[in-house]
Amino acid sequence: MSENTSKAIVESLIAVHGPQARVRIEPVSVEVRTGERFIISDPLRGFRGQPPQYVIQERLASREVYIGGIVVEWGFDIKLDHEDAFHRWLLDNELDLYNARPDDGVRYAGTYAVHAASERNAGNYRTVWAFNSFANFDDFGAAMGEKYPTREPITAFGELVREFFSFWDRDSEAHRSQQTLVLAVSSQATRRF
Amino acid sequence: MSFPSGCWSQTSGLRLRPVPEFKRCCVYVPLQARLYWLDLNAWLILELCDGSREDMIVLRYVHAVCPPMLPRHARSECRLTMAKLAELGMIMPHNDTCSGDQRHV
Repeated sequence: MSENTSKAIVESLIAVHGPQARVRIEPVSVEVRTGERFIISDPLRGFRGQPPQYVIQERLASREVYIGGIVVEWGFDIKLDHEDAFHRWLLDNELDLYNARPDDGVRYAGTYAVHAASERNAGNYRTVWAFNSFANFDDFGAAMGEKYPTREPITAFGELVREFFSFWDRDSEAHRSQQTLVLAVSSQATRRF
Repeated sequence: MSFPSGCWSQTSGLRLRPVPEFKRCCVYVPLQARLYWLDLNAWLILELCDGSREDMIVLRYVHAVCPPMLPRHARSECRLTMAKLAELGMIMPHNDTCSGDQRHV
């Protein structure tokens, strides 16, 4: 029997992680968010009535006003009892994570512990990424790609991000979130579909 | 709803999508047209319902989760979960020749 069958997978997970404390069978709640928006075209493209693009580009380049044109915030929990190791990893690797960026328009803007929040299920940590342009957003995704079929990271940046992910708590009860923010003064951000 | 001498199988058309990263399995039940999340314990019990007799399913479950789980607790949990899975239309009993009992525990 193939080792990739559903039965082989669950047996190996239980062998590694042990059984759960109690059985959970939950209906999947299907949620249709008609207001959801995805980045499928450049949200920073200008249109009539918005500030000239060069103003935005200058501010992005100088980083005096904005941290990025597109800002992505990852919310997550760290595996139980791995917090100290995670903090040590950050101390040792944050600068490398910043320097290994695939393009100058991609910026690692720090990882933060949540001190207070109104959202309870978004995770105890936030990592902020800033992108100058839509193209940089693409570069970021490409740099985290992996080789086929070995699944090795294709860049040093990807390898660091993979190490970073290894601290995340992937348990079904752990909290996660992601927010993608686009400059309010940019064009498409205020358009509703 | 104990059925110790009967055999248990997954219902026809059941679709399982393991999500190992979350230690869960998503199950589509065509009879109800509904989706469910199963944790590791429930997922394993569902997988053990491969045409085997109920007492063999319980034995295999106990073998997989004890320790750390206590055998008495594991047996009870397995039977209760099978009842729940049957209620949700994921498994069903049958009196045909049991097909999964030849394998080692």
